[in-house]
Amino acid sequence: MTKEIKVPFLGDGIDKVTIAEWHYKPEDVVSQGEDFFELEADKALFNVPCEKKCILRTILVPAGQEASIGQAVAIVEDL
Amino acid sequence: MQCHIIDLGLIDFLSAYHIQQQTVRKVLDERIPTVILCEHRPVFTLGRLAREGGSLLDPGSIRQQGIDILRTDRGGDVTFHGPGQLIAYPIFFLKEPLRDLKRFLYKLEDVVIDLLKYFGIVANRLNGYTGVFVREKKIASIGIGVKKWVTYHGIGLNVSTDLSPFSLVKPCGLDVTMTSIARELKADASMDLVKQEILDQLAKKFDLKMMDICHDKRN
Repeated sequence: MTKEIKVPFLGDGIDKVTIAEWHYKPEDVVSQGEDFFELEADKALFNVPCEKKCILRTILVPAGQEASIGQAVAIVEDL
Repeated sequence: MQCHIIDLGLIDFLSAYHIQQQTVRKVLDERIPTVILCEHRPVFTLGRLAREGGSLLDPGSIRQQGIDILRTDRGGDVTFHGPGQLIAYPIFFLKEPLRDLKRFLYKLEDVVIDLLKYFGIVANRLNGYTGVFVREKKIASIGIGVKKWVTYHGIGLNVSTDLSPFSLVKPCGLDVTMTSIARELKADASMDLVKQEILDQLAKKFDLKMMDICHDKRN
């Protein structure tokens, strides 16, 4: 089953983040608890962990681009 | 809550970084907050999204002087670390209501502003920029990383730092002049006293009970 990975809530007053780095590329298997990707907001770099083992199917927002809180940035398929 | 304190003394950036990462794992397991204090040997560090050709004005000249330029996993742009700059790495597991990155950064700024007040220096925020300023001059840089809601990296406060290397960069991407506690006081500033005061302020702002300082001799 595919699902969207969304930018998490990082606190009041943070509406947008920049995707700093993807640690995986499409078709990679990502294990639960691994750092999936990094977001930068203000002077904070936030590592987003993988919540459930999955295959990364599509990166919707590549590194260096902005995304809003709650916006889908990737599509994954649960394993 | 009790808080461990590790004082690494003068240490190169990468050795301190490895200790930070070990400490992050420990804090994730045990949930006991830890503050790492140290001074770094001269080094320029770039945040994850910083471009070497952006805020570093002359990377070639910096390397010729034997100063490393390292990319690191914190937020923010480029900055300089060197002896006389107090580094404080709060390795804290953030729980609600502190799971708010702006609020956490704001508290770190408060720590520095109140510390400087203790030394008779009036400091402030600069609207739209993270860090602490004395008038328009920057005295402390703040940039953090967060992994599974455990914070790392933190505060670089100029106590008696040689400020000349900052002329080779736009610190944190800004066209600002840097200053230090010693420069503002026009007198020597005691690093030990500043360390004690930053621990007192961290204890107050984050409701912590500081344990005895562990002097790590690995460096």
